[in-house]
Amino acid sequence: MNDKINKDGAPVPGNVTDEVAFHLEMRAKELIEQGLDPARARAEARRRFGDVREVTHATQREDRTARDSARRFEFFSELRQDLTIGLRRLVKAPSFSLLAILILALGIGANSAIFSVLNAVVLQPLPYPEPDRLVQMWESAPARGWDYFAVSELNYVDFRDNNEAFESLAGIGFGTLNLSLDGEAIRLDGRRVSLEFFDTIGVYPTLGRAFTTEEDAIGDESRVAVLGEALWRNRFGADPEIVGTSVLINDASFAIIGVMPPGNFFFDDADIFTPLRAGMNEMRSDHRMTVLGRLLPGVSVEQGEADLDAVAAQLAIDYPDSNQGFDTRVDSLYDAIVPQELRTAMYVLIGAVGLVLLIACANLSSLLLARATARAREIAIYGALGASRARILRQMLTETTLLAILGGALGTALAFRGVTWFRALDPGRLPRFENLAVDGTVLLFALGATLATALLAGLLPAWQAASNDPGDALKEGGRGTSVSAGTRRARQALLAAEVALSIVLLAGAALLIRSFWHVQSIDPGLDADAVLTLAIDMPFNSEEEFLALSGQFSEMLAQIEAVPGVLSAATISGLPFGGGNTSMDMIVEGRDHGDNYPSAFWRLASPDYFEAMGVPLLKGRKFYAEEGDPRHVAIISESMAESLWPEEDPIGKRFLGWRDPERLKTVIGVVGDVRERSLESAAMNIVYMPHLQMTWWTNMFFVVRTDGDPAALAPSVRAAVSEVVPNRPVTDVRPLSSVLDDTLGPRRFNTSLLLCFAAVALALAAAGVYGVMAYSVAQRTSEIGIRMAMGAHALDVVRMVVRQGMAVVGIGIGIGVLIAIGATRLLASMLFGVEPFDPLSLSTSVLFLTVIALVACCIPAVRATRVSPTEALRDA
Amino acid sequence: MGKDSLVLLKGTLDVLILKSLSWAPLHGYAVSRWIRQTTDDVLEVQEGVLYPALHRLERRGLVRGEWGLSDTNRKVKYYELTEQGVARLATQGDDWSRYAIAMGKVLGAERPS
Repeated sequence: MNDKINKDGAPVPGNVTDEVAFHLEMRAKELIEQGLDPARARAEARRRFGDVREVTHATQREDRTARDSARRFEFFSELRQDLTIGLRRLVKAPSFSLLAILILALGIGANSAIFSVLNAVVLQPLPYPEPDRLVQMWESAPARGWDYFAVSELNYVDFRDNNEAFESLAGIGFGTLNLSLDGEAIRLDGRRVSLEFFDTIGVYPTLGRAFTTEEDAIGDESRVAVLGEALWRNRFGADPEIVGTSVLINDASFAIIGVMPPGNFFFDDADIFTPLRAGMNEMRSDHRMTVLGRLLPGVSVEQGEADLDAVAAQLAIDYPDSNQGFDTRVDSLYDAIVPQELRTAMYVLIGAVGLVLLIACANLSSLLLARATARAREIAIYGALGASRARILRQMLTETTLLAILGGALGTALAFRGVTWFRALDPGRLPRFENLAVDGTVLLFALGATLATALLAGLLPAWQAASNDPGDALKEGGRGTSVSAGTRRARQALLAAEVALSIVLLAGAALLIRSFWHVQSIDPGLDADAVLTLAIDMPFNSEEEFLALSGQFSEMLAQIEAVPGVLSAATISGLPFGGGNTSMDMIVEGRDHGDNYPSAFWRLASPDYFEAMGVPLLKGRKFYAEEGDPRHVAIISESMAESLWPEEDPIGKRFLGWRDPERLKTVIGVVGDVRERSLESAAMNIVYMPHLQMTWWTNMFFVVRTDGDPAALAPSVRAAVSEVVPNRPVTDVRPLSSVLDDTLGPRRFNTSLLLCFAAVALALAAAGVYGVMAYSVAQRTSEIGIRMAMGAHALDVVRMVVRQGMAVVGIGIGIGVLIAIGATRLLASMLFGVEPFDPLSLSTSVLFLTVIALVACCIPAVRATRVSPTEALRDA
Repeated sequence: MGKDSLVLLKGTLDVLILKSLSWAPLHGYAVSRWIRQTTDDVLEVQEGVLYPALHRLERRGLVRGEWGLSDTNRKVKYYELTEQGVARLATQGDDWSRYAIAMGKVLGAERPS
């Protein structure tokens, strides 16, 4: 037997096998004493014992269970101990703790808030069953520059009936309707949808039913409607008995047959759905329909497009006049709603705010390192008392995690605030923004960010603390002020990293700001100040009503112009920047365009439109009011005049509108270019036609130029319109400047957020520089004192400290510039008028950060010179 | 197992072990010998069963095990009762006594007149 004896005399613990062996041996001995021979005694002992292996295993199992629960108990008691110690330490240093929690709260809060935007806009699936199979289709005539073009109704019918890749294709027409309810006129956002609409999106009325085949057939006279949930709730008190009742829409009685479930069913909040009866519009070249499709299972978007292209090719043969040069475009509905550029912008934002969190981590890490140095002695004693390295590491990490959790909790509260703020900021034109909320996914993200932060910020300081040799720390004795070279290097590396990341953010923000300035300084071609706009829908149900429209509009304009403060008023069929496409291709008299017809935006405008809008009349004359003008006159935009009749006088030239021989139009004037689509798009061809002679377009806008604040005149202008047509709702009353502003919304949102992040990054970096330098100066108080005592000039001391600090900052800037050159390329699609590699933006960022860092260095440096040498030496 | 031996009732072994340890710490073999001798070998058990039971009692904190040296200078594990073990023995011992008395009365009862 090889019993080992410990120094203190206690035997080394044995195991179960030893115990069992001893038993068997003793039992055999007993049996031998009773007279059995040794061999039989041993066998008998084993027999009486039972299955040795089984017993040994069972006993070991007991021990294991015991060990496990002991370990668990130990873990939790240590955790409790760590938490108590950590909490006590945090309370003991309240200013450090508050600063750290605040930094983390800002970082985690900003990240969670931005993530909630990403989640709502980009990550959430579309609210339809099997959304992957949903697509949107367009027609496309690349040669004419029409890439994503609305679908013509007759073509839709052919696509619907002749495709092989789709389960269903749904046609949707957009339009507004007037609902008369208890004497009040309400404007509704309406969708004329084909029968297939409900099958395609996979959503059906929850109350009542969808349309029948008969109701959607051409020639059917029944007037049926399905209500949107919001309208049903807000205007009909969510009446469960509503199905079967009738409402007055556009002065005609409609039977309500169903109510949709809550949700945003293509696109925005549709108030009401009526049957499309596709094919009623017999003009094949009139493209104005939106088409959605549900692919057959297993069919890809590309296969769907190829299938529809084949149909389009046949259509081009059958109807060359209208369809030559057309094929189709098919995008997944997700791509159509959340375009690639938008996704890029969102990922850039989350990336940027992630950088802010990284900087915050580096900052906190640096603070923790400084603290760890200060408590090196304490940790050393702890270690000398037998705490293992892992145990010390865990204790330090627990402390950081505690900080991170407090910061994360505060940050989550901030995220709720941030989301409220984003809603108020209303970036406009961001799809699915209404889904914005701090939901479970966002909370999970916040938790993840919190734990990642704790690890990132805490690991380095904890590792440093745990790997310090306790002996050294104790030997240094006294006040434990000496910093290990490793810790100093680590802090400098963290500082350089902070500076580098800040440069990246600054450079990105600078690029976006320059783009924003560029976009804002673009001349829209009109004078948006002091202009009020209103929308009105003037549908007609009879020849008689149609003929009355022109007079009604003239009267409304007269009433508006009679309002004090109004300078001029006009009608227009579409507002600039208002969205929506109109197109007219044309044949210039006496020319052969081949397949390449010139095309233009078209607008119906009353005579004073250009005056009210502030668009200059460059040549010719404006429209005459009412009867005075022949129907087929046109005013064209400057760039259209230049492209169609270069070096010729366009006045008096003629062209066929919509290539229709019945619509020969004579140019009577040329006006300045207006950027109809958006500020960022190029000037385009526009044909203006006299509205008062052509009242068939029912969704009109008033443009009212005032002599002051347009919003102030809104009530009286609205009243003036209602006086003439009391039963027609006036909507969207707003200054033109805010319409213009809307187009800048997403850009402003991105730019201001990135600017915000860059500012926070800069502040954190400045705090980092200050912290490291102040600490370093404090460490060298005696050295500086000696230098001063030996006659060094204060300026020399400042220079020395600043040089030391700026060396680190310089390295950070160098690395940052390199990263920025690569990273800003991701911004390319968000920029306007500036290249991703923009020396001006980059150098401005570098300069900016250098100045801030210099100031942050100088404060501790100057303070160092105030040290009295005697004091410094006494402390040494 | 002999013809006249009894099958060990569930829960009995724990009480036996606790009782055996009530005077002095013993090693496993000594516990098993004490049980054999005190019960006159009536309670025939596979002796090995003792060890998982001892370790289970140890885990539950009723006994405490410690390695030491035997009289013959062998490395052996000694078990002693903890305070908890003493308390448990007191309650369980009482329970068993009352049970045994009750059973005895039942079996010794005369036919009611």
